[in-house]
Amino acid sequence: MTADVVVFPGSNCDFDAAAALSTALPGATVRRQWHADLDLSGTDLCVLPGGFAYGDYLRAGALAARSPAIAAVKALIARGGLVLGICNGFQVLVEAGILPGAFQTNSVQHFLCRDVQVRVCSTASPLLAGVREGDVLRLPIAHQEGNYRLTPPEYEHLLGEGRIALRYCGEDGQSEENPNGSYGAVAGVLGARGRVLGMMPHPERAAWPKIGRADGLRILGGAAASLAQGGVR
Amino acid sequence: MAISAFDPQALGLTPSECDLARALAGRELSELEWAILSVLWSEHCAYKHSRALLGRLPSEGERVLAGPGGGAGVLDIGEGWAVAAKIESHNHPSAVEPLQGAATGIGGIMRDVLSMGARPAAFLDSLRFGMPSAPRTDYLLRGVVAGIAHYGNCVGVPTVGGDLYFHPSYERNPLVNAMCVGFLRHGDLRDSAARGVGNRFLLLGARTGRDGIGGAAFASVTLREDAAEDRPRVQVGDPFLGKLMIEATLEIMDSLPVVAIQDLGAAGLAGAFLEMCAKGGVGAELWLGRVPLRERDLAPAEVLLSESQERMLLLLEPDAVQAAQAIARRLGVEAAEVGEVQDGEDIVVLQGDEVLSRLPVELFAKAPTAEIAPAPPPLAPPAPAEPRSCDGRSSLLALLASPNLCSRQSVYGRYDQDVGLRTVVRPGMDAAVLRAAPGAPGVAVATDQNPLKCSLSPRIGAALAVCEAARNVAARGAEPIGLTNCLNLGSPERPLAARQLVDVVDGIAEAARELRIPVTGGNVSLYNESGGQSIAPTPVIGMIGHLPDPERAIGVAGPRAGMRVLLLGRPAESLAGSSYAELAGVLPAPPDPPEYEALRGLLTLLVRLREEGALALAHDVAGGGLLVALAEIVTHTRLGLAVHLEEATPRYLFGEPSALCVAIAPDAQVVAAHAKALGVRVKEIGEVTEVAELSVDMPTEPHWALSLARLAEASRGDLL
Repeated sequence: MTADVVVFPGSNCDFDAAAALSTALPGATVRRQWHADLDLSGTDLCVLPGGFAYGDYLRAGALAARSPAIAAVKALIARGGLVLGICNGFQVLVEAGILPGAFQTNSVQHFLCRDVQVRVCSTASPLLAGVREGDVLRLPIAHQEGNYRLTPPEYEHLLGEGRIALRYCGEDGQSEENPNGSYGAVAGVLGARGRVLGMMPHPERAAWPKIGRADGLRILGGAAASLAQGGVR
Repeated sequence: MAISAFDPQALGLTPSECDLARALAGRELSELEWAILSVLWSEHCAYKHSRALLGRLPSEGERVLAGPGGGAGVLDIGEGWAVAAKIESHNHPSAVEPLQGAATGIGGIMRDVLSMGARPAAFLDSLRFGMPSAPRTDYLLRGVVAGIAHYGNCVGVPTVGGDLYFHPSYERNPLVNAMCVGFLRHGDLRDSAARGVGNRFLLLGARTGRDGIGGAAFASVTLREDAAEDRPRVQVGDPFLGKLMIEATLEIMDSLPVVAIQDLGAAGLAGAFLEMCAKGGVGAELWLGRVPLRERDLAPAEVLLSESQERMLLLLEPDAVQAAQAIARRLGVEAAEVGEVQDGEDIVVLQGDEVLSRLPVELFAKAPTAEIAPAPPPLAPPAPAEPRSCDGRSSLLALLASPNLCSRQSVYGRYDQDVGLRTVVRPGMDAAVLRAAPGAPGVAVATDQNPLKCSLSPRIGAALAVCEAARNVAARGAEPIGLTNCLNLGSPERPLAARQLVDVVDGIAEAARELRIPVTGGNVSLYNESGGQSIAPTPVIGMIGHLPDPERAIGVAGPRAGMRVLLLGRPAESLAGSSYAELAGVLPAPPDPPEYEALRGLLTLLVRLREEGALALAHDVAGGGLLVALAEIVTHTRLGLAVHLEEATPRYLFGEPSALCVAIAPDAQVVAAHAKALGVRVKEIGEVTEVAELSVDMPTEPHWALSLARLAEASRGDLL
């Protein structure tokens, strides 16, 4: 399979995402592609990485959402390809209208970098083939505008379609914890046909089993299993 | 800043410096030339008062690939990898405009590391403020932390450590010392010496504007009462452009013959261009008219001296210029050809066809030095009688709650600590651990200095800073292989500060020699005073420890209940210079000098125990002493410790020794055997427990315990 990481000016988790994908998807071709020259014609999985695309000027993700790369991403989705937006990449997907909602500054009003727990609430996506509903993953967050906003009807709609994928939770997996004030403690959502996942935590930073940070591999590696069972196209 | 004065002395040059300049030039200098020289020969650029003294620092060692004088020190870490590291101050700008001052401080040190051919991999920040109760401290602390987060998080370089102290002497002159660590392959090492007639200078990065003009000169005088009026001298950083510039610079260096490279920092384009030429001893032309400008009507002196951020100067073979510009353009960075190395020894500055200046390169090769007149060494005050007993439990809680010992989590929680996937151990205790790349060797890194100890004895305090930084990296099992230092002091024109300058250099030199750690460079920041009050002498040490296998550093696997708790090294023999002494009001005895022999044994032991995989955790006993160190282990690991201590005296519990650490091991016998072989004192004091509390038995004292929740609450701090 082929996985491509889109590099916008100001992306800074592109190397990390590519490295983690190589670990998670043995045998896959993993490339970093500059946004202006993006070619997704042979791509199975496209990752929009974390960072500060265009310096987060105007709003996080707003300028990158106007990159010509977005048309290629939409075309990939239309032909059944998979798209994963991590942190700033999630913000780009939202600004591009590919995922619903909007982002505000964290409720604590500053940048947050720490490990959090997220509970898997849906597996209605090939991207979540490596996890089961109710699983609790320990993943790092690192963001300032991670307060994900949905209107109550939007939220109900997504919930009904099984598109609320990940929620922040306490260490026991049950208790409530919401580090950035997101609506419904939502940490990740799915696109309409489950081909797109946007998430604020960084799975690529938890793809390091040697030092006990491995839960991200269950997200990044999940796509491989489902692709092996039938592929994308 | 309007540059109009013809009297060179009004620009800060002394009469003898003016005479020297005229003699080297063979004529009177123009207004433009005086303006350049006044900046190049400022303390900030030229180290006039400290250059001779810095020669006392040992700078040689087997692992040193590049020592003092370049953008950063570079050390061999094996398998073809090297680490580049340097620490630098950005104090005065941060006093005036804390957010941009701190942001541009880390942007500046990042470019220094980049200029060695290294990819910037981590920041550490050593910060000093007045006491939290002082009216401006909160504003300054919040601004500085926001500035570091603003720049570091965006530019994609994690912040993995540093240190933070409060002391009244920093109230109006806070310190922001930023350290950057980068990794490179040996073959990618670069320097800044211009060479090769016909080679072209390429100015890469931001356009040149009016910001920061005269910044170097600003840094070379004491802060005025109305320092806020100096705000236009503070540069403004753009971390987004900084990120583009890193990638463009690395890609150009990777794919094209880059002959030399230097970042633009103090004294801007003039500083970088002239230093590159002077270092190579070559003549060159500088084409001012080709410098991309942010605003049209900049005077030549402003173009030369602007300290606009995010700029690098590269020297390329002429054939490579177009390809380099194409790389820059693709990545969204401007790159302009601004000069050429030429035959002869003249530096020629042109605006179009007009020659604005022609001077021999020799004039820029070496700034004059300035004499200092240190006061005689002060007599140590008699040691006061020490208290013989104390309430260990309540003293511990008071120390944990004090601003210099409470948790720093609220500070570093605002920094991205992981980006780049090199951070093996995050900040929080002793030293962070970085790997150069997956499967590659790495380093443990820490910064240290204790204002209280240094104010009581600059010399011993400086030596102890080296010792503490060495213990910090050794607590991860790393061998200290090099240090960078930033000397922050008051005006060298005053005998007391001059004495302190000599003393801190001598203290670092002594400790570096005793521990065989080369000093690979650093920075000197003088004139740190305001309203006639000088800061406590502040020699900040940035330590690099070598780890062949960083993923097996001490502490990565972590302790478990049932493991043994040991003390390695020598307990404190007095309270001198300790936080407890300050709390108990028994200052001002100077701290005890370092016990080098014991420390050498301890450092060697920790490296060996890491090699053997014999330790699950090690934690240096430093600020606050032994009980504080034990409490920190509980709050950090969220496990319990049950210990039986040998003594209940204040000095044993709260003294701050120079060669002691707490270690946690699955098997105490293994540790004891290695300690014995190296002559290191070892004492088993207890075990790790499931119950998350610190439980303490001492002779002659009733047993007590403090829960994790109680300890965490006491040390919460709420600094931000």
